[in-house]
Amino acid sequence: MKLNRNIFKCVGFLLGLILLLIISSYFFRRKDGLHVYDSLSVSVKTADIKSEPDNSLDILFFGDSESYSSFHPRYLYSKFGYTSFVCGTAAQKVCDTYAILKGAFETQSPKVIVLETNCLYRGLKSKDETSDMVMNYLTDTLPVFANHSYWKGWARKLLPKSRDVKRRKNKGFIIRENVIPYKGGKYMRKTKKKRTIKKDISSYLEQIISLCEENNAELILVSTPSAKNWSYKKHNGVKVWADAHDITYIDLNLNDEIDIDWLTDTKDGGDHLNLAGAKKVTKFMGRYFRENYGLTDHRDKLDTKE
Amino acid sequence: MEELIEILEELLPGEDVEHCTTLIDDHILNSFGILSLVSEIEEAFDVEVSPAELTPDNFNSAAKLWDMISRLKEDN
Amino acid sequence: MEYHLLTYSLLFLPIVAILYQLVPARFRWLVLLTADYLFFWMVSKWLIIFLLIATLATYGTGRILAYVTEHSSVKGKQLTKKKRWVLAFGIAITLGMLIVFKYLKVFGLSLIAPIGISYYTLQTISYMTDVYRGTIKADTKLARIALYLSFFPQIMEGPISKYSQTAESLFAGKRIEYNNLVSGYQRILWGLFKKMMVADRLAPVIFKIFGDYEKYDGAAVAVAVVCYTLQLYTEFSGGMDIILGSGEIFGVKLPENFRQPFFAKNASDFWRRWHITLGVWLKDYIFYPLSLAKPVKKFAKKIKGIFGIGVSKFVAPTIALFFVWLSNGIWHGAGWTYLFYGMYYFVLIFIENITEEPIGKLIEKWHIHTNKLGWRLLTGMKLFVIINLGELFFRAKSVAQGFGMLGKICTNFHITVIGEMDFGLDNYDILLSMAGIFIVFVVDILHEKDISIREKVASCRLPLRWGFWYAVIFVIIIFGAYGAGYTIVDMIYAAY
Repeated sequence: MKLNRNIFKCVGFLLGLILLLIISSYFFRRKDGLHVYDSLSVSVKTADIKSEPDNSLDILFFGDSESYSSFHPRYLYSKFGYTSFVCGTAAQKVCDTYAILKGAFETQSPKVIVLETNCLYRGLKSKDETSDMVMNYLTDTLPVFANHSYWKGWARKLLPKSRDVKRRKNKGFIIRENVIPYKGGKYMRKTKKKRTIKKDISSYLEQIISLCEENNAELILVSTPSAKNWSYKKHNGVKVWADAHDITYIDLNLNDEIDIDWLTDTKDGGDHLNLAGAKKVTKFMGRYFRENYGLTDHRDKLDTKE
Repeated sequence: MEELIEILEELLPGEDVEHCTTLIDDHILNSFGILSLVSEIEEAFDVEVSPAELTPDNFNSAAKLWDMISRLKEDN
Repeated sequence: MEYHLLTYSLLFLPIVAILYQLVPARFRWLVLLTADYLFFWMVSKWLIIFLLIATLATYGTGRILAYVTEHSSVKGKQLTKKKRWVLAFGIAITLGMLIVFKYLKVFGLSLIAPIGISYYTLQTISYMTDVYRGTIKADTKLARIALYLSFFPQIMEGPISKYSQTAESLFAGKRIEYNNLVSGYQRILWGLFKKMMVADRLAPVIFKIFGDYEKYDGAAVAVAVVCYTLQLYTEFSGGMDIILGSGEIFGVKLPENFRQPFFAKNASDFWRRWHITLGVWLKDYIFYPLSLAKPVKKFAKKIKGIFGIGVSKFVAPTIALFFVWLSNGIWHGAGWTYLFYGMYYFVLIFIENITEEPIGKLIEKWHIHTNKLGWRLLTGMKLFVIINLGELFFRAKSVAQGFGMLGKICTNFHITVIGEMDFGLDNYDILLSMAGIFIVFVVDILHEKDISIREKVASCRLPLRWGFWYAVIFVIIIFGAYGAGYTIVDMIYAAY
């Protein structure tokens, strides 16, 4: 009799918990219904971009850590006069790219959207991140787990002083000057093999393209130099996809013009570029924009100066 | 027994060593104290205390200590 | 599978518990042992062979010791000598494996060690020595030894238990009691709270500043060191909460490893409250035997002849103490920082021992009330500095880095920098980690006063009780440092 009562209590407690999880998940869902992996980064980045003056940006850069290690908006401005912002976030997944881009188009009307390609090989589910099966299952099914960091957004609204988001001085770029050389030699070995872009990633890319078209922007794919992360197989995969969808694809790993010196231009042994490497990439991109897009040089206008 | 109480009183001044039964449990005797006590006991009663005897059970009270000493004396 | 993963507490553990309960009592030990070996296999695969060898060696040594004691033709000293050889042989086997796996990297040979080898090896030595000493009887059941050495909740990072503490209840196959189940899971929840609210949230600060301390002001370095101490405490003691909670479910009372360490009186008291089971092991199997060893005693007598008892009474304990701390340092790994850490505490505790008497006299002479808050605050702060200094060297990559960081703190300390410092956490995370630390602190005060929160809550009426635990669960879910944007840190003490 007592045993039964105890089992009853256990089950009751668990049912109550499940009910509370479902109810709370309602409050933690994304209102726009988008699937987002890193809700915290997405909301922070969206707030960052919204704090920029409306319609002030020509170019937006997306991608994972490669993007904010390679594209240097202030340098681009000082050399070419184009305004830009890095919307890349750590370990960005394309679903997050889409969500941030959608938010950005609400206040900005960029001409060019650059997507760094390393993120195209990152899976969309949390099982790609940790080995905790149960945690991954909960994260993928219950918004209260997936979006638990929303409380930060609510706290921001409640605390009046912290309401204003500080404008990002470096427009999303992170300056890192230290050098840890890469000494592994050639990493782009020509091959016919390819790593095909997965279906779910591809369909997100297609959504991104149509979002760009609706907003009169052009999407281009760029592979920034990374000895650790990039390979010929990945190049082939992106190339095939880009050709099929008629999208411009630039692989800087195969470009001799930008002349990356792996002994001085990387901050962590070939994984990411440092400031010196980023300047080379940004200079190349600036020239590319000048030759291919009729962007205005804003440098004579004082109002965009920092 | 009296000799043992004397040793304890000298080692732990101000404690009621005769009646306390939690010398170890209440950290009145720490590991250094135990060792001093052991060397005094070994000298006074001409016994040899092995590491196996160093249990809270043997050291918690004067009575327990006396039990141990008597036992060791017999073994000799 | 690390214990803070939900896969452990919400999948592995419940499955084992349910199977355990469903099976008839006399087979329950088999469920536990299967779970133990499965757990071991999942992490270390074929290295489980070394655990099996250790188990057989431990069991065998116990049996041989029993046989020699019963059947030997010799008695007294000669018998002891014979038994000592058997014990030495047994220890050589299990300790030998530990040395090979842990210290061969000194010679550039790096092997992946079986999980928990640092912990279960100490348990093998403990069992064999206790049988040798006659404090326990040699076990006739191999299964009981196997269970004692491999219990899955404790295999990865302890606590180091004695045979007399856990073997019996592991084998007994008692049914799972409702109260134990509930209370066990409550304790697991508290462990997850410490890990997810404090330890993992602080991780970026420590990673950032220890990785590159030259770039930072001394004040920032000091903050990082304190953060590390707090991380280590919440992470290790939180792990223990999960582990002991798991044991509780099966009715196995594992020994406590922490007892509010920051409320200790001094360094030696700290070590009676921090990683307790390691301290107890070192005391029982190194400190006592060494200080009672004949050569040490002889040496002490000689000193007594020259300097008198005032000096000689420190000789034996100090020699033993030196080896205790040498072992403590080396046990953590083959690195100068660990050796330094051990010697640091040796020197500190040595000083405490020789100054205990004179300071006690001074306190009496100056009529200081050691129970007053002011005095306790003062000694508490002194101890906190001592602990942090130790952990600084413990965490540093090298002793040189340790001194470099210490130098920064001493010579280039600007408290104002802290306000503008980027610690790699946003303001909300800083605020929440402080709140978490505060809660852990309050709970420690309650525990120090012998108040059990679980019991207090259990005495409330059902709605209040459930409300409390629901609230704790949701605090962890919403405010926990997990998921995108946070990194979950591997268990620190599983690496030792």
